[in-house]
Amino acid sequence: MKLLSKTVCSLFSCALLVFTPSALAIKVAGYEFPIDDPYDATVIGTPKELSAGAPEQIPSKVYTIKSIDSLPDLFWYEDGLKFSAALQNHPAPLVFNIAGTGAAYNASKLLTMQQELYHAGFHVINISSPTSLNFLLTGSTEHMPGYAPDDAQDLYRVMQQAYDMVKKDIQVTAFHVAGYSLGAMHAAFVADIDQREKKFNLQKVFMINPPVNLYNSAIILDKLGNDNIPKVNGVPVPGKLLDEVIDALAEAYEPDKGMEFDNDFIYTAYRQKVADGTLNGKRTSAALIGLSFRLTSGAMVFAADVMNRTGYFVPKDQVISPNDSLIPFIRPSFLITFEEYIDKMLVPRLQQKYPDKTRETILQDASLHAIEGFLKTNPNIRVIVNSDEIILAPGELSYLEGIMGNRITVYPLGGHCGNMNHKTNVASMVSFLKGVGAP
Amino acid sequence: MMAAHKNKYALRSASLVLALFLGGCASAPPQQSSAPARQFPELENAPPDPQSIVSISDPFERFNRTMYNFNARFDRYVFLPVVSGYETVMPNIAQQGVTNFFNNLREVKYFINNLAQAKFTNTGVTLGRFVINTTIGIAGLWDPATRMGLYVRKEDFGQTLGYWGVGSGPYLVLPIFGPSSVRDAGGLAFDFAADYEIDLLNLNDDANKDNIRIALTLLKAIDTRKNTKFRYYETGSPFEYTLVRFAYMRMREVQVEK
Repeated sequence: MKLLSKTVCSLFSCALLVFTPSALAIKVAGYEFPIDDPYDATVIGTPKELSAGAPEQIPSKVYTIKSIDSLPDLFWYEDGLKFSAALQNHPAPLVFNIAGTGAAYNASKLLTMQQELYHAGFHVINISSPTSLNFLLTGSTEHMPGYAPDDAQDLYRVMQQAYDMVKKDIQVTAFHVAGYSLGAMHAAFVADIDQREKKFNLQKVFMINPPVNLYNSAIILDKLGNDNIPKVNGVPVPGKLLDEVIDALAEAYEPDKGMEFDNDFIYTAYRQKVADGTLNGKRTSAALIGLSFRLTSGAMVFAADVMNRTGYFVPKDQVISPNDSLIPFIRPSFLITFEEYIDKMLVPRLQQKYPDKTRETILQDASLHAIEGFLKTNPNIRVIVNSDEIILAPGELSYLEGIMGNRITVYPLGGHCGNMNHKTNVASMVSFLKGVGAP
Repeated sequence: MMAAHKNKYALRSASLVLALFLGGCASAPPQQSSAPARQFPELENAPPDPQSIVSISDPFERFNRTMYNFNARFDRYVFLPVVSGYETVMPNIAQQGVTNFFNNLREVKYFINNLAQAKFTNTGVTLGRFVINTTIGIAGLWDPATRMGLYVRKEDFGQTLGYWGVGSGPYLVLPIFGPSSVRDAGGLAFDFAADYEIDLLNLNDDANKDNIRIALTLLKAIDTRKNTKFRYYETGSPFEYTLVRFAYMRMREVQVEK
């Protein structure tokens, strides 16, 4: 059931993070957003009445790029890298949207971006995150994502392949790139590559709630899971958390009044439960964000281990058939944090590939610090963040404000990407990409 | 919440028969020689919690996974292309008519199972819906009852069994139908048989009954698939089978309670 992962994935409570004012960053006055807890905001997102609300129906088509490697039988169901394109029948600028951690081209946040931008007159191509299962298996050269410079190379190649598949049908006047969360960081790295390779001559880069350093953000999200997912004998039990949430939602479920236990119901009921304060403790949203991140990283660790025969927790020579139980790997995959993945799998692998790099330089190269010069000087980059962002380590928001100056907008509320669908946010994205008015 | 588990073992014999039947599908566990780098001593001493996602009873896992993959292939290469062709050929209003028509026939099942659970108000509402939609809604092609505030009261025999305390039994993936349980599969068979016996469309006396029945079954299958959002292997998790299993079993518990 999609709603389990989707709901959990699109979906946290502590005091508002302290906001450090900066002289230049644009502050938004009179911004209306009803959820003042950043974790709840992250889970619930923008209420319908404040959303930009472009019609959902757009002529978007799904395309498949042939997988670069042949895959083990276990992954028989992946036949290539999928992306979607919504194309105008008149000359228009084209925007590449890049999804956040673990998310695919059809993740609800990316679909909404596609709808809004399509209705604003752009051709829009949605690209999955290199950390999503489909991309990891079929579009990644290393099958071990997490290192932004290499992931951006994969993305850059995929963007060209995607454009090649649709270009006969469209006239493009300019190319732009946008992304949310990890996808925002990827957008900046891709634009940096393009500056040298000029395959697209990307004009504008729009970054929504980017991490500064994936490692730091991963530690924060790992901790959210560790601290909030219920444990039995020291082992986190996600089913217990989901049981609690489902029980709470089931109380509000009245099939006799025409309700269906679907995404809309779960969304509405969860929002109501949060508003009433009747969810089991204030930490439910935080736990769900931690759980969603853990499910994503577990999926990634397992697939990367199998594809690379790393032998990290899947025995090297074990051939897993599509009909074999994966239970022996599910519980372990859930215990491996993203931090552990980076330290024990990704960094050693990168050190083989780049023998002169230390752990520190690798982590530095995978952060926005590595492309600071590019970010600082380019007038065509915009960043939007929230002052209650939950994935930034102390000092990282001020760092962003420092390097971006008047090219960053800081909204007062929204948590992590909870307000990206807000009409004000969407309007700023559209007007920036259209090149009219102040950001 | 788990009242349904009183008679947990009521279906033991049924499971046993199935286990014997499916026994041939099981094979030796995959061989593994080299120990992985990362060990999990914390898991050795901690059996999965009953509320864990991995704790759903699934003795037929190998058979179920085979069936799950079969269904996913059938979906990809047959079912969804046919549904997509149907959506192209049929005008939207006709598609809605077909959906309403089959939903109206389902009221028979809802009536029996509301009655069997002594939910008399719901039984009455179901009867009312059927009468209104069959007459004013012209043989069920329209659904005026919902517009009048008479919402559908879905109940099936799996839920009826659950209501009277029969536990779900092990998880079971059925061909084409997908996720189910031993109890719910039995319920499905009962509902089918009841539907056949009641013979609402008076097919049993028709000279062309077999052809009509096949055509109707195919159309119903296409219509049902069209209205089911689920897509195989779209969760983005390599552990989808296990997540779907948890979600199905948990969702059925909610349905039985309500």
